[in-house]
Amino acid sequence: MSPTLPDANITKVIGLLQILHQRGGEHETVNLANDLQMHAENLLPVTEAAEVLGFLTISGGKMKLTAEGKKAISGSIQERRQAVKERLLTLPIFKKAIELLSKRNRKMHKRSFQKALLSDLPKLHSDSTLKSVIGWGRHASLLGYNADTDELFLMS
Amino acid sequence: MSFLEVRNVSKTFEEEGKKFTVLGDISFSVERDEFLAIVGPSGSGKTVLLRIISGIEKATSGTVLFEDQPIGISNPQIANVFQNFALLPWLTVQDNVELGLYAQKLPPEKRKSTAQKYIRIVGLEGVENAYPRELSGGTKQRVGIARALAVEPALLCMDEPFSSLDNLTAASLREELLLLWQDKSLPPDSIVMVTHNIEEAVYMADRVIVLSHPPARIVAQLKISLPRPRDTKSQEFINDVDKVYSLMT
Repeated sequence: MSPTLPDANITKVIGLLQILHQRGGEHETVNLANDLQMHAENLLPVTEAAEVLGFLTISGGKMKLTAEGKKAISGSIQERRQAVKERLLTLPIFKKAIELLSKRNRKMHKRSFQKALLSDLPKLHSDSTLKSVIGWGRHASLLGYNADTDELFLMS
Repeated sequence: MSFLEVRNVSKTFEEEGKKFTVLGDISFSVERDEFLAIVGPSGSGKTVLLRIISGIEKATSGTVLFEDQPIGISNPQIANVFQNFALLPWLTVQDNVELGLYAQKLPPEKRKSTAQKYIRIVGLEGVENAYPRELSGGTKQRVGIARALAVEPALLCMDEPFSSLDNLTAASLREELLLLWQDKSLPPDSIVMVTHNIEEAVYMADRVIVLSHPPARIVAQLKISLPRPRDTKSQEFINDVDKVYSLMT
């Protein structure tokens, strides 16, 4: 089955890394939602996304910022975007997405892209993963999406 | 010469024959390259004060001077960022950012390239042709910031810019805004930010002005000289936050 992506946006992931960094780079997972006045079910996809991207590790009830995570919150805005882009390029789902788009003149209709990339997922997971692929790809200036034409395209 | 000077500004609204004085007698100045935060209890007229500074609203008495000149209705040196982003839903990100540039009567190509420059700087490449409905709150506010910066203002006025965002998104955007402000090759020189969030004021600003209940007067001004990035867990930071709290209550 295709891998799924958590339904969370990168801005929140970066915010989580910053808060973690401010607290010395590690924190008890349990208390953080309370501290941030967030529901645990809203924080969970954000921590999952951060973990998938290799920005933090979770073990023994503690989350810990990684070197990649530190990179994503250092330097200029462009350098931070670049650090996210580098991580995206290591994820199989983005490798597959780029391969698909490269073969089709760098752009595809959203529906055929979803079919090719995520056909073996149930609709609910397929929709939310597509949302994350577009959102994360846009954040890192890796993918673009035109809502007028419903087309996804590869950025330079 | 002051960069910005607010001199004896007061504001009284009249409603059904009754008068409400929101701002008493407010005087302060803002230096070039300064980040000033204004805090105060709700209803203390923070937003009205900011609107008077940016020329959106007229003071009942007193003046606001920008480099010794009274500000008028149109102030190309001053741009605004709003709590609710104030984007036009039927326009793309690119068009929303260009919006602020129409007043400058630039040729269309220049308008386009200037907008693109600030879209890149704020990190919005990839969403240029998105509509606001496709964007998260954080990205909407980035568009609001790009639109304000595109007019290359000397002063940026921000009214509760992060208070409609969740805590994680707000943390992310505060950092980005500080990066933009600290980059001396970019506008703006100075920022005036209104907020009800004391930690946010102490985390970001060089100086915090505390307003009283209406009719608002300045209770105190506190200089925050902690080095950036500020350590919110440090005793010095906590002390400054406590100081502002005690001044407000």
